[in-house]
Amino acid sequence: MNVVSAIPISFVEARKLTLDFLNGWMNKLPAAQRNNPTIVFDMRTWSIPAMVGQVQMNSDVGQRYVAYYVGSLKNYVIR
Amino acid sequence: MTATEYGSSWLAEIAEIARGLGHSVYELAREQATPENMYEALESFKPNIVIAMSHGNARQFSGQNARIVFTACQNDEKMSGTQSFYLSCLMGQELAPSMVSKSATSVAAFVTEFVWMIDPEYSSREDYINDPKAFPFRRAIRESCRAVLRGGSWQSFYDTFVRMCNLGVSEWWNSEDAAAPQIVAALEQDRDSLVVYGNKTISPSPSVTISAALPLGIALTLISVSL
Repeated sequence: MNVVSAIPISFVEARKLTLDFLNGWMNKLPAAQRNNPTIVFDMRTWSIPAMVGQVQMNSDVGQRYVAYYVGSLKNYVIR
Repeated sequence: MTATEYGSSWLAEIAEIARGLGHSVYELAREQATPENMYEALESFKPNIVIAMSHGNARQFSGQNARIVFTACQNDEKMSGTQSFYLSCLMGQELAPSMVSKSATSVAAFVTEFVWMIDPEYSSREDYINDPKAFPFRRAIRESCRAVLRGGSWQSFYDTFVRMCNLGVSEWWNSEDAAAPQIVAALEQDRDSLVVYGNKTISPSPSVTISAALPLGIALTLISVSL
């Protein structure tokens, strides 16, 4: 049996992964819809650009979103 | 539109299900969702089951105006003898097991953020319930609560939640909607985040419901049930 363990990455790398994901998601949306609330996180509604801003600012919510997103990938762990 | 209004519309639906199953229901809503009212309700109604929705963190659960209702190892003994489910973030890390260590019978909660997707086209309170992107999340919460309100065990609550999340994943897996990958990821993450502490196989005997929902980003819904 092969056992695959999660790859340790730094928070900076995790944040880049998260921003790449959010920007990719945003780019798939029609321009008119990009500022609409789309995701509920921390029991608050966020548009994708708003969450990008939180991640870029490295706010508490932004940091938790990075941890959440990278955790959802299952194959990385933040060092 | 606030997330807590959204979530509380889900809990209003669950309260109706509880009534439909013959339970008496008591709800705390919006400005009524204060710590004092919650403590009073726990004293007066002595609920067997509490279902609550609000902001939370690893150690705390909050109500109206972000006032703290429960804090781990400070006042969580107030839940002694009850069964409860918290639709809240992170509480499964410390507060939920702390409640069980203070003799709460069973506590279900999430160890990470509870995340869901919404479609802004369904942004009025009357439309929340019709939002197709929020639907798989709402269904998972509703059906798992229905299972326990029917007298099922907390194992059945857990199993139903997992099954409903998996059903949502299968329904959205091949969707070409731009939000579909995130809906699938959030369902999987929510599914893997649910924990039940205490006696998972206990069969509750439901009957009184308390529920509360708050505007301004803060919401609390409590459903308590007893015969």
